[in-house]
Amino acid sequence: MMLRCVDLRVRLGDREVVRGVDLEVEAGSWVTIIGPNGAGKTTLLRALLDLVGASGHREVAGRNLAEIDGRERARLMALVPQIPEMPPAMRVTDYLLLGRTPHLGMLGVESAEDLAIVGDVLAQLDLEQLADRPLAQISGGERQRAVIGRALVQQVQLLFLDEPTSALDLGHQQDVLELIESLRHEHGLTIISTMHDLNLAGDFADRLVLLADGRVEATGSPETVLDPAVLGATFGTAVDVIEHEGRMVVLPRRSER
Amino acid sequence: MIQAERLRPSWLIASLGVLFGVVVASLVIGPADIGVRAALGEVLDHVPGVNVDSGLSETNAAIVWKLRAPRLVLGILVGAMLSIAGASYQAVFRNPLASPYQLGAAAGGGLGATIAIVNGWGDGAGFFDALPLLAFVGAIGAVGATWVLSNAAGGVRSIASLLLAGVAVTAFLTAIQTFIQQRNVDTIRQVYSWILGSLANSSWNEVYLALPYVLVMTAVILVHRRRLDVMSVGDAEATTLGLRPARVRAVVVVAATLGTAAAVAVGGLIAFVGLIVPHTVRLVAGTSNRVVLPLSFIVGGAFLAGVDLLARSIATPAEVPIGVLTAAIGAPFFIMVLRTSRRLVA
Repeated sequence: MMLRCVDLRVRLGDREVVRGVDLEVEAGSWVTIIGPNGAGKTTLLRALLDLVGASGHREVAGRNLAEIDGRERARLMALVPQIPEMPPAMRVTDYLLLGRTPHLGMLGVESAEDLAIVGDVLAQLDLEQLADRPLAQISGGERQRAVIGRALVQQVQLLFLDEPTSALDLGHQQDVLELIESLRHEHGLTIISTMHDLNLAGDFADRLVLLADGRVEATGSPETVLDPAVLGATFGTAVDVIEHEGRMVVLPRRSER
Repeated sequence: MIQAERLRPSWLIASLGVLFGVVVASLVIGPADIGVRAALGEVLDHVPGVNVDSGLSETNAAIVWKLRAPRLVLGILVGAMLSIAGASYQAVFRNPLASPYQLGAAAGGGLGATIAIVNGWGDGAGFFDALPLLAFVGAIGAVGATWVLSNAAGGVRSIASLLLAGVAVTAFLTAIQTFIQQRNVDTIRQVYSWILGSLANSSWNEVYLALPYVLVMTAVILVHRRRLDVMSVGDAEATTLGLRPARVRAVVVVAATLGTAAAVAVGGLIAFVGLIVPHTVRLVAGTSNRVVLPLSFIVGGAFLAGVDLLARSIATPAEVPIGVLTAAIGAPFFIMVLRTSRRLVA
């Protein structure tokens, strides 16, 4: 088991946003959290990373998260945020190098090995041509690859992706998710993501977790979770789910006039 | 081959060259006519284990070693410290306008100095002169108050609450300082001359007072230079990269503040150095703190020593307050930086 949480709760102000979530994520799997706006998807992700105060038990790679210090956590799990902070004048290379932070010593000097790891990731993500460009001068799709690159450079086992496709067009959405899928197989990564687009979520995840109002409404394979009755109740709109060439397609139904 | 952004040797050599130029000019230029070779010889003669006959008369030797040299060294130390402290504050608060003065160091230092001056404690007599000590204590106390206040209001984790607490503390201390000053109009000239900053009348005592702080605090800041680069992606992401942002911020703010307090104590409130120098370095040599911090230190030292040379030369025998000059150069420069940085961010 790569990650496990029991009765995870997060309170923001006087509102409980995550309300007793139990989750088990197997090593090497891809689990995607879906749900309507305000369901607590991002907060759940942040709670699993301990970026927000939460109660409940959390385990990563069989160890209690509370007993793992910050540096070691950063060698176990990485985050690709929905809206990453990208210093405009920083070069792509230096941005990726930030991912080596948890592996460096006291003075923070990168070794030849650290630089070689960044070189490999730049090549793998097709970013070599952009290595010396400032972040302000690359496109949205390239930025997303740079953020994924920084996470890969961290050499973690568990990768968190918060809405990895929300800022991308149709083609780039597909590219990024296929890239993540291939990286998962190549590096043996475990992926936990949140996603708005139910079709993309169903296409790429092994398992979906439907979150509504801070609670797990349904969990399981895309075939079981993408159920018209369940989705209709959760999202507050009638939907049809069609099977097309072995894939689940979710179609919202227009209201009658 | 992949390479991390780093301080290029050419920039290091160029900045040290400028610093050396300022050193020579400061030792040589002045009312007493002293040559380059004689001035450098006199300085070298004071290096332990070196014996050089500068050929200077006793008076001229004293002018070089007891007047010009300590003033020059103090100018370098103060300028270097204010610059690297400014660069650290800008990095740690991710705010291009941040400076230690914003957290109350200037107002606290000013209050301490005013108290010393109106009570006649600050006569520049020796190592335990009350003026620099009170200015130092005032600066530290003010930033400490800002810290505590901000903690009570919303936590130092929130940058906005820290900066707002700084505004409140500054306003409060400035009010007290103005009140004391108004009640003692006879000393108003002295208070103003301190507030505008001056390196005149500096001796080796001031150098010894400031030196340990400048060296230790600079070392602490430089050790954190890469962590400050990591902080540029924000606290949450820095945490996922294995950093403890609140801790890094605390350590760097304390180091930059102690260093600034020492600089203010011996040099008065010299404005704008902490903004002009780091921003120039960023525009010219690169934005990584691995470049900005060490280069700001060197360039800041050269800049302030150079401005001080100007301050004592352009209206001889009178002195122009150095804070007036740094502000006069700094304000227009500042507008320029703002225009450029808006382009960079957009």
